[in-house]
Amino acid sequence: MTTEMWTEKYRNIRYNQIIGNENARRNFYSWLKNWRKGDRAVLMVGQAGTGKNTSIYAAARELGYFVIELNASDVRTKESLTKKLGVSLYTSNLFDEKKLVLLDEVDGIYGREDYGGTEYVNELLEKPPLPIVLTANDYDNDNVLKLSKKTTVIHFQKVPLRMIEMYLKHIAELENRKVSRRLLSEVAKKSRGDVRAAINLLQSVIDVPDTVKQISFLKDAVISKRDAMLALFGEKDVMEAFHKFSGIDANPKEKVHILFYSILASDLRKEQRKAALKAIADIDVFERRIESTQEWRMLKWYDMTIVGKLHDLGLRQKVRYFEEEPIWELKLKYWTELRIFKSIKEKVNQRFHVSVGEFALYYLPCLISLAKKDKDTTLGYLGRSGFDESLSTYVEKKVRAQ
Amino acid sequence: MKIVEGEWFRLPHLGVDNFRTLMSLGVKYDRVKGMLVDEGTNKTLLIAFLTDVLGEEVLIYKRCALCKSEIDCRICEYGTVCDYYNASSTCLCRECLKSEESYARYIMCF
Repeated sequence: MTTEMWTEKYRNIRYNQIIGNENARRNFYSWLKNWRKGDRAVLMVGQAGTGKNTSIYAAARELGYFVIELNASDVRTKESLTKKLGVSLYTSNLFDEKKLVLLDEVDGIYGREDYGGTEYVNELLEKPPLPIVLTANDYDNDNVLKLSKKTTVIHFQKVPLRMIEMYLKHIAELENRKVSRRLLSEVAKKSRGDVRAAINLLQSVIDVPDTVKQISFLKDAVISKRDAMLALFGEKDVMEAFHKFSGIDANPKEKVHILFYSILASDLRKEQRKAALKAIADIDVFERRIESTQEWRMLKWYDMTIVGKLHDLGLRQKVRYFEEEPIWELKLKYWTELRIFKSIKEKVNQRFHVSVGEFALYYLPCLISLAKKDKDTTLGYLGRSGFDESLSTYVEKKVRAQ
Repeated sequence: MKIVEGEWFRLPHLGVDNFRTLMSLGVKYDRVKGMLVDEGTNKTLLIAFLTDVLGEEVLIYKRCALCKSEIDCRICEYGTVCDYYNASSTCLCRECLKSEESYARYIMCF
């Protein structure tokens, strides 16, 4: 049996063999095929496993390009970028191949002046001597937003799960493996639209002896947020609750959000709710400290802390699962008014350690509600925190309107 | 109201402010063809916004990459787990997914 990773084995596929994002792929292929000196660079934005890099390499192969790849998370200062790119930009290689520059994961480039990575890329993008492709995972990242103004943006989205199922079936056939439809479907579900993850998962589960065990292997590997919550507040034994909860398919921030909304949505007594919210606040502080100090190793205690703080509060079977984003109307309302908060961006970052968007969505409604109860104290707090008049005026206006 | 991803559609006149909001949500506009929802559109917000403005239910459909039929993601077997508003605009209908040669046909279609 070969131990080669299937993701590597099936990486060098032809352009039309890639799945999903058909429009994006057509646009990219046409851009590269018709590229002329001075044409704008392309910025491909999309989550991992959506086919950005596979598309770049497949198109480059088919159109005769040699790819010079730089990972922006590793090479992000002006000096290192010049060192790696400088000569290649204006010289040809031995085989006189056409060259394409791939700057992978530009979300990681430093924008600070002393490093100058973004400035260097910006200069390069003014008049590109070669086709330049940048890739990024997060469109909301400040660096990416800046770069998007000088590039043609191509969005890569998650691949629909039915397409993933179809592709997994094809790979299983190539590998001469018989796989049940049920297993393919379970793997597709777990992949969440990430083709690479789906292929890896299929390879890891395919050697488990029978279908029932394969499915249970998948179910054990990751459990849904709902099941994790039910286990946390349902299991009698604390270790059993911990074992199940630690398999939750969510990042630390999401865990706090789900816990918070579930507690709010559950029918609890006042003291119980107070104790639970206090525990969640402590967990949130713990998570923020890990993030600000970058002591990621502390994350291994994170789930333990959650279970330890919440399991013994006497909330067994009383908490119902509820995951709620801010209501759309609210999100839309503040989203359209974000420009007002541009001026207080730095202060928000310093004071609350969150983006302006997060501030508008999660913090501002609380401030308005506090101001409604005690306007002077709330506005006084904003003044003492160093915010300028615009925020106080905005909060006051909202209080009057409600 | 039904919108098919990647296809032009028309809306009644909604006023300048609403038009601006549509543009900021990533809807494309062409004076002749109308409006277009594609990969760059924030579909979740768009549905909330249009439902509110039009006062009727708004649904976004995908199209089958093979037989070109319309797909209603709400009744798909992956409906509860697939992040279909953030997934690419074409998918596969149930019948095409079941067919033996689906991948070979998909490659031919591209």
